Amino acid sequence: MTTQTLDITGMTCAACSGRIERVLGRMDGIERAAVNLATEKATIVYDPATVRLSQIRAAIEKIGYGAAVPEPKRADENRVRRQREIRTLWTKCIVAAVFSVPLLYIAMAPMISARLPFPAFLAPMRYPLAYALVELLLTIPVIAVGYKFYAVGFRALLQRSPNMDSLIAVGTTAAFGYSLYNLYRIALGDFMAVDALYFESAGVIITLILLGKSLEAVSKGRTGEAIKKLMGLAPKSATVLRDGAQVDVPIAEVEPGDTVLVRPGASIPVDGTVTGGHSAVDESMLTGESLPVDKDVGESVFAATINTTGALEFRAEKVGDDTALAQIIRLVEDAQGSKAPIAALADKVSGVFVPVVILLALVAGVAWYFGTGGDAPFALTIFISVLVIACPCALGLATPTAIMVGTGKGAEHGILIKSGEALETAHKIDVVVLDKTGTITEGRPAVTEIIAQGIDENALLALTASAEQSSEHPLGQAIVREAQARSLVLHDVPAFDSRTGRGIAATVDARALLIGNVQLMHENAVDLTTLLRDADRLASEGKTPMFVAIDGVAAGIVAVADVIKPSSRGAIEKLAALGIESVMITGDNAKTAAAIAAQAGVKRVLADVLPQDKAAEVKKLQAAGKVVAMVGDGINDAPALAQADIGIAIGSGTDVAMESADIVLMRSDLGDVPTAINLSRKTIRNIRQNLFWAFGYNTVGIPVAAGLLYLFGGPLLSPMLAAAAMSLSSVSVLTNALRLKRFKG
Amino acid sequence: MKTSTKTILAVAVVVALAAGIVGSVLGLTHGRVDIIAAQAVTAFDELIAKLPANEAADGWILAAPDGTVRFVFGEDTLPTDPRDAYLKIYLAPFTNAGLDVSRLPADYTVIEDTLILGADLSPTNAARARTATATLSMLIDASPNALGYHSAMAHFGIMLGDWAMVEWAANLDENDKDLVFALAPDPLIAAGVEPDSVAGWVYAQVPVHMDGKSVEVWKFLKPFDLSEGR
Repeated sequence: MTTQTLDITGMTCAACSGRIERVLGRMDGIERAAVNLATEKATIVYDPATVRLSQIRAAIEKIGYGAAVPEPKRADENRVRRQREIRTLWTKCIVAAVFSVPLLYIAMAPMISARLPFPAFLAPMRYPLAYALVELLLTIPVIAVGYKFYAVGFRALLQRSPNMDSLIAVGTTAAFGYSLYNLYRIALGDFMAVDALYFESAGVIITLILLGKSLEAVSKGRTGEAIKKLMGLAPKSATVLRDGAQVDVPIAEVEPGDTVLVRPGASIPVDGTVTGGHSAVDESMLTGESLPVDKDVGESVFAATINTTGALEFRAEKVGDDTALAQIIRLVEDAQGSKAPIAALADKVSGVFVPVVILLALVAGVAWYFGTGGDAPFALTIFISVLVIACPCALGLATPTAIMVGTGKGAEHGILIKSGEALETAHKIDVVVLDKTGTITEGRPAVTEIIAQGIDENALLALTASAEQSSEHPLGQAIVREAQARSLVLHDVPAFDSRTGRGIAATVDARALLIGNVQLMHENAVDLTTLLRDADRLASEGKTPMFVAIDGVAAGIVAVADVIKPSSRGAIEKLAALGIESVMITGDNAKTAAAIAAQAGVKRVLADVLPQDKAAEVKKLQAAGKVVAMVGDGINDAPALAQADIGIAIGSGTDVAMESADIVLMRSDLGDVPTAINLSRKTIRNIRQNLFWAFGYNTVGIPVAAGLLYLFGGPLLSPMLAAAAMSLSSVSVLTNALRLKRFKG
Repeated sequence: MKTSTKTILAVAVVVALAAGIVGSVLGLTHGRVDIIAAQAVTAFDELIAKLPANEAADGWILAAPDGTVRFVFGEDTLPTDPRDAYLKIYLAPFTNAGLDVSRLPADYTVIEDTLILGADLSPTNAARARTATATLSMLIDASPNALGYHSAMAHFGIMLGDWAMVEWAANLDENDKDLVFALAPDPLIAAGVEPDSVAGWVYAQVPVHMDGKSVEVWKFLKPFDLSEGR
């Protein structure tokens, strides 16, 4: 099976997206097709051996929509195209308004008050033909700028798959056609037909729908701002070394292996590894991390991050679509194009909505015609109002717009949510299983305590670190890092011996050093009596005590531990505040695990769990009826990430972990887990609000438009008010979705 | 196709469509946009056929069958009075009902036993033509806004000052009030007229189209049915 995304053009409402899905769903070889109205994309899972992509595109084009394979390099062009579309919509809207405003005035002023200024030569009861002709001439340009509603709407109707445009086309054509008929009646001497002109309804409806569409287009554009921001981050050119000379080349011409130079303050153009220079790089646009990260030779740099202080020289490794930025953009775009299960109801309703509305409008119109003893204008008003008010566009926008803003907002926080389904499931999480190493803890040991006996603490550390310089053991490297952090001077080590499983022996500054565990000390008859109590305490705190003996005498302990990240405890408290239980999972023994758990504030610990058993533990929790999220960073976490209802790969993690995860946290900060869950909850609440408004609007709007209130002495909705309400419904749903942009975490 | 070409084509289509519709509508009306005026004149001609107008020195005269009101049109009333379309109303029923002529507004001219209420429709001193219908047509052309269509009664009418009107049916065969003279009651009541005591006149409410709604207004009316057998 192959997954392909297509750009779809020409959709106007949920009925359109539903129709494309139905057509594709009927094709052999297509396993799944999801069409997103907000992003105007179709995600199709198909078997290339059974059906060709060209056939899929042809099927979409046959029913009146455009289908094209997206070209990432043309993202800018797409953005320009969309901006042009918005400009065109506004132009049409303004042209329509220029004609509709006087049209509305001419139609309404004589009904409102004789005191309103009104040209005498258009008095409807005196000059009915002139009045009707002027109305006609003002309406025709409005109909002309709204011709797409008719072209698309009637074509869809003829293909027995009516959409929103069909409702508008039928409603306004009925108004225009009936008015035209009455214009001829006036010309034939039936002056009273002047009271049955509805030109202004047709014109104002088109204008209001165009206004709604323009506002909708602007709002839609704002929902995708996060992606636009990401796309805008990449620089357009790079400085590379070619034959020893610095050459500025377009970004597309940078190739893997090129040596790239980046000046202070400039953006890094492609991904690579530093080969020269030292600097701090602002990676906040990718990770959300606010502090610049130091970069030395051998460290990775990423496209779109900003070099702050020093000049850097690096070797290009990933360019174009392979950069981390491009992958993030793709990930977010895929998520925005995906459908959340909550959208299923709206999709089902939209599928049958338009035909049902046309039927309802006909029934209401006919019922009122006979109910009023043949009052055709009244029946027509009802028919048009029902058609115009019942547009399913708000229904179609309710879910995807919120997902677009939600996933975009996540990306801004360094939280990559890979699908709408993940976004929806995340709000249900009630247990978060946290891998210990690299997730709760830093993932690399650090010196946590030094107990010196008969020697200065720094002197002991300097000697120990000097000896460990030659060691490749993680614990030894932690000691060296601590000494470097304290700017201690390290000595040369003329003699070094590694004792596997025990420690090391070395000569430093003419002194014999033993560094290691109790066994190493016992083998060398070092008396540890004064240090054993501290050693026990340190072990109980989850730390590894490394004894140091100088010239055969115990000189102290250097305790090394994998410390918890500064944000871990706060994150776990936030999870608790959200009503979510945190569970720590680790291969460590129960004592060490309990010590770390206590520091992090985790109450439940799954200790002594082998990497291959982590998935089984997650499964057990699921079997107990819990919705489980697994947070991990290593390859060994991948099965558990896949098993969990939501897999969350945390920062600096491996590609495999990220592949298996539903949510990727760009920073190595556990605090982003509650942020992601909170974002999910807020997005789902927003979707529910949108669906409530969209369904509620139609549930209330259609009976009112059908004259139900009028039947009981209440008001009657004019077709123009119906058009305004319909446009407002879409705009209100979009505005509500845009509220998510205020999400702070 | 270029966008500018498309736009030009679209505008051409729209103009052609508009021209087509307007052309076909005007074809039906023989090019006349003021169809109320055209039909009013036609209906007046039919009225004259049943109740002939007479030509006199002061213009064409359409007299009510009972002789109490005359609609005079075509010549200015006097060299000093430019009103060329007016009603001459026999005053006795009103004076008998309490009218004090000294209390009438200035534009209510009383000469002996006749009340004159009218309007200056034509800018010339004489707008008389060879027929009553042609004369009326000239006056309407000169002051088209004086003509109206009273939809509730299916009448055409000419406003002759201070809501005094002469109205005639758009279709004599379908209307039982073929000719109606109407006066605004307020100035007369203010001058002492007891409205229900005016012999030969009906004091009644009539529906008129105002501000998009049908409203009832009080009038003194003198309707005539010219149909044979009615």
